[in-house]
Amino acid sequence: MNTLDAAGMMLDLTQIESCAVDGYAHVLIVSAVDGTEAAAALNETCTITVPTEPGTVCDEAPYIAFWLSPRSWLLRVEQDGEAAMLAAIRKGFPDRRVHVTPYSDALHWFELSGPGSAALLARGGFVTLSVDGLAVGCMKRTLIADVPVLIWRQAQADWSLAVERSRAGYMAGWFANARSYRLSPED
Amino acid sequence: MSRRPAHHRLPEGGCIDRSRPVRFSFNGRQMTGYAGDTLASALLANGVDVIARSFKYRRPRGFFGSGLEDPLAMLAVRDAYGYDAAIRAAQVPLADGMAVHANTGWPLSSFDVGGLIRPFARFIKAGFYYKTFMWPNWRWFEPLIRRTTGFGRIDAIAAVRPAERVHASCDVLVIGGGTAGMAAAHALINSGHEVVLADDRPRLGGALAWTDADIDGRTADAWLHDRSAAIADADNIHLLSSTVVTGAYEGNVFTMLQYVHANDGVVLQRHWKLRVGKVILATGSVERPLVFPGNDRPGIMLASAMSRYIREFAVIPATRVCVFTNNDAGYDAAFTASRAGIDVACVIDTRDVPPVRLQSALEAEGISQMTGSEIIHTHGSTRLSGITVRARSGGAARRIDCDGLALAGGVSPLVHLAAHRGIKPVYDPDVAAFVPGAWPENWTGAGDVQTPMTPDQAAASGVAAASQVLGKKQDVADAVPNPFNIEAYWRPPTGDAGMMFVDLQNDVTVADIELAAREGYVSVEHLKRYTTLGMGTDQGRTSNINGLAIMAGLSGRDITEVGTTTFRPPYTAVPMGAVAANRTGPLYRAARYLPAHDIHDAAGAVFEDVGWLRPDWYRQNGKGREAAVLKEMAAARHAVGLFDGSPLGKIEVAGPDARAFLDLFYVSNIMTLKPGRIRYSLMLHVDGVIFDDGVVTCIDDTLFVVGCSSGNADAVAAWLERWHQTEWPSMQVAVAPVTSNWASIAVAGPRARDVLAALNPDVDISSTAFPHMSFREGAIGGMMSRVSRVSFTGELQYEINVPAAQGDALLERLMEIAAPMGGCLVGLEAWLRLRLEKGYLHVGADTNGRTTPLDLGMGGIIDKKPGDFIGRRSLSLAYAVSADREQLVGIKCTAAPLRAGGRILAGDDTRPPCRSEGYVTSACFSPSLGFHVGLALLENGSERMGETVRIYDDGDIIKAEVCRPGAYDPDNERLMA
Amino acid sequence: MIIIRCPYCHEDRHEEELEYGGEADIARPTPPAQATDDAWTDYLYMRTNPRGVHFEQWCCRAGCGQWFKVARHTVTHDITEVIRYEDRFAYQKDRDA
Repeated sequence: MNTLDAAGMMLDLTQIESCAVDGYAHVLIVSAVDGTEAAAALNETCTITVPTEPGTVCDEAPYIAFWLSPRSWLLRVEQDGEAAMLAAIRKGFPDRRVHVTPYSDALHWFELSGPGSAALLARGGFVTLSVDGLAVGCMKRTLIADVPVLIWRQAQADWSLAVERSRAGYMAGWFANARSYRLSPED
Repeated sequence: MSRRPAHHRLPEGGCIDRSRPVRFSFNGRQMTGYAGDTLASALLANGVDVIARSFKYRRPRGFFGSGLEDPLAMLAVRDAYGYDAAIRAAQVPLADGMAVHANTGWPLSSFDVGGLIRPFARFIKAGFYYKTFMWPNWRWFEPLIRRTTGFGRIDAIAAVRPAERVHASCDVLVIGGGTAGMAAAHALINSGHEVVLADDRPRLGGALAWTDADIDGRTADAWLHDRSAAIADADNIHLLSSTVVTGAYEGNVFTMLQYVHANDGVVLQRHWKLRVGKVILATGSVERPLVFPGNDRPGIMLASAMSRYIREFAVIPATRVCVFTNNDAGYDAAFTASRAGIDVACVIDTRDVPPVRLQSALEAEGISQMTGSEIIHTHGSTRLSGITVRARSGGAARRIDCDGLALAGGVSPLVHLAAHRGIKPVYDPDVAAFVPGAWPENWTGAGDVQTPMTPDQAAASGVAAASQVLGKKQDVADAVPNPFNIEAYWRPPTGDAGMMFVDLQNDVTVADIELAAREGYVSVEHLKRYTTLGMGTDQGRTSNINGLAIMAGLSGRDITEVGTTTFRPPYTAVPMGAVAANRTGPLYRAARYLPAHDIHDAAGAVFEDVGWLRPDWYRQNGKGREAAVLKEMAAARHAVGLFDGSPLGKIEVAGPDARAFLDLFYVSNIMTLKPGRIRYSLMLHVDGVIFDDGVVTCIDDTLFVVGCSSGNADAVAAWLERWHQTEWPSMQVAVAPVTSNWASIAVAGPRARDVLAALNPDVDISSTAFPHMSFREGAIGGMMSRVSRVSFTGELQYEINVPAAQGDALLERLMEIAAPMGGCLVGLEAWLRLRLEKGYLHVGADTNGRTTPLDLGMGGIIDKKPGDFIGRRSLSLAYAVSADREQLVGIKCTAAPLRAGGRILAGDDTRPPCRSEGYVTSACFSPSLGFHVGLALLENGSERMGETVRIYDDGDIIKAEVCRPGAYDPDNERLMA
Repeated sequence: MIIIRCPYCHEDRHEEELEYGGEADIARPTPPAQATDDAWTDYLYMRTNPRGVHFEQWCCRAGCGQWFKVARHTVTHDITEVIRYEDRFAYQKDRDA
């Protein structure tokens, strides 16, 4: 991402889609014990792999696991597989050393793509303070326009953003406004 | 405004584009400049020489500088995109159709009614306002004084100029696009570093636009052209022109303000936050004037400004000029003017022996010179007409006619940004300047900002700075010490100190500094505040050093000893609109919407922003709020009310130690809470003060749901997590905040069970099977639901939670079912009144930053709890058990309305002023009871039931009776129904 | 702008993403019931408040939500040490040794 180059570019090249991520459900996993221990146990007991490296995503069918904190993960599963996954983890951890709860409706997702997408995000905050930026395939949690977000960079100019459901309306309005600054090409 | 009749523009030369005239207006008069002009140069070229009236004495003032150092020309400017109430003319690129107005002076800056104050100027000394208008009260005079002074008028219908914020990171930031900055950036081309070069001007080059120089053996023009092109082509150099770096902060984060110009104005303001690895500060320096009697007349300007107006803008600032200098640099202005065909009368040099080469050069141009001399007086009314000069050693005074005077008093390095980071500038007497004594970590300087130097030296120091950034060693030739042979000259020893202006914007004279010295305000920070020296919008760029040098002389100290005042961001004025950017109107702050927002909206909800946008009440057939609220209350009392409680916090606490963990937070015993049951309780801060109230639900032995108040949903989750991480990390517990995953609708009223039954629940909802304070999970209305039987209203009440995406559907179903029963939606106001009738407290409204559970009468509950909880130990400290604490009580009265905020008068007092023993925390009229009810925090209140108290309510005295809270349904029959 | 690299998610975090949590290593008397009034009020209110290096707690609030400890100079804001919550500052290790 080079927001410096992108600062003056035409942001209407950015596609913003506000979507429900059709066909998928999300569950939140929070561990009551050490995260590494929990990840190992999840693998052993339920054959579910969750990432233990910060900022990484396990993108293995039939689910995608996002690292949220040393002891929590967000899992995206196919709608049909949600109940089975909830049941499997609950069965695997009857004392809830690893706790799982439905989370599909907690978040709202935006998809941003196009050459102006990095610049659009940079209007709302430092996506990252490092010059290299957020690596493709990685995710992080931060603030955009003071709204807590989860950002997942799927490709060079292709980003998924999750915000808390109640803040989605604001975020959509903010994106629309930030994108409206269309500057002349010579700028 | 006075105008010189002659031509004011040279036939050729300058950086202006004569093929592109730009039309603008000044005080309603049409004028023309050229593309490439600043507003200041265009006004000068149109013969405008009086631009402002001074702040205190209303003296006429002209253009003194040519950039952001100019203390005087603050104008109101409207362009095609917005309006600036007070902006420095020398910083504004001229734009088509610009409408410009002078800010001070009425009706014209050249004829100012307020100028009548001038004869009395003698009496307006430092601290005048504070001393004179003290009796009876400064506040009485302040508005009047403020109106006659100050800059700028607020334009109530001003368009909001587009602005945006940008955040970015880079490896190297080069600040300043003059010789040194360009040399540094050029040396960093293809270095593998991402470099930002920020320059406050539209064009690179800085002072090269108006100085003669040879750099690297080439002419300044050739060097500038070559370097500009290379920088523009370089992939790793990001040039931000018209961009001022406004602040330097820890972590090498900088704020910058970029103006994006179109032909007709500033099309966009861009406020940057830039995180930087390494910094090259190449901000250069600014020239200082010399101080002498009458040094403020229009026509007098900095020598660098005169050179710049002539060479960069091809402006003729005067017809006959003199130069007054204490160093070699001043001579440039004389040569520049002379070569432009302007008559140069004389160079007055304070030094006894200036370099011989300058003398010869002057002779070659036919310019006379007076050495070892000083100006003792100036002449003219609205513009300079002459000066009187005398040898410093004494002798006869000589008058020289001139309408322009260039001042060269040496330069001050622009060290501000380094000083933002805590670097103290140190005085170097050799060059008579404050220079940076050190650099912040990962910073280096280049060029004039280090010490005064020639352009050739500046270019070399820029390259050296780049090498340092790249970690390469490079030998740099030592800078020539004092290249301009300055000899410090701060003020004439004699003459009228009241006419020697130090700060031209705030009208601070040498006499004011003398007064401050006499009265003991010798500290530089006191001097500044007492005299207002350097407190103007120019932040004293041309005046601070002169002022503190004069103070040093008066108090017999070294300049080093006096030191400078503290530099703080921003470096120059930043419009609030640029900082706010698009965060205005509906985007002002991140509003939160209910899952069923649209349903509420369609039902006529009047929303209130309480962190979430929540329905306060619902419009009904044109009736007002009060009628609507009463109708909503009646529905809940007599049929059923539907209330959206989705923002209520829902935090799942799970794991083997979940129960023991939660027991550490609540004042009530959680160890005995059975699966399927709910308990109301309080959480405290460590000092025993109430933090939050809510209900905790036991789903099973390893899963609980913490229900907390809406405003604390995030804070309580963070609180649980913090204690787990920091105090009890070995407890096996998982905290999962799930508030936003659920929509939560409360159904309250005698028909609540009928409503629930109509949803065909797959659980038994009879009162015996599903009693008050219990919890069930099941399919309700075909949706997977979590239902709690709890009550905030005092009625039979269920809280139905469904996944948020189904909130719309649930609410619509409930409305369909409730309507035929006489039920309706209930807004926040009615909801809060219902709980007040019942006497339930609202944490934050009925408790304050001192209230403990003991003050609520919960001592018994606490005594029964065996275990510890956060805050418990504090409840036995002396302050928590003292007898005079304010305790929560009910109050009621039948006559006058009670209102929250009324103060309860002490004892037999009937009118204030008197001691107060507490206050009304909530109050309303209760339709169910037929009188006014409220809650109050009252000293020793629990012992005062039945007592009549007097309440002071905005001028009225109301008598009310102290009672137990909860007059509505005191036996809880409705609640338990 | 204060920037601290979170020792848990290894991201540079700026002050808007962080939450300040006061002085570190203020021991909570246990069990609280047996603490004297003086010991308890010291725990509640007494802090070192130095001009110089301050040992304090911060939370990666907008990031991974973890609490950690930081040595920060209260005049210059220089961050000299960032450790995980369970770790000990260098001066403490020196003292232990």
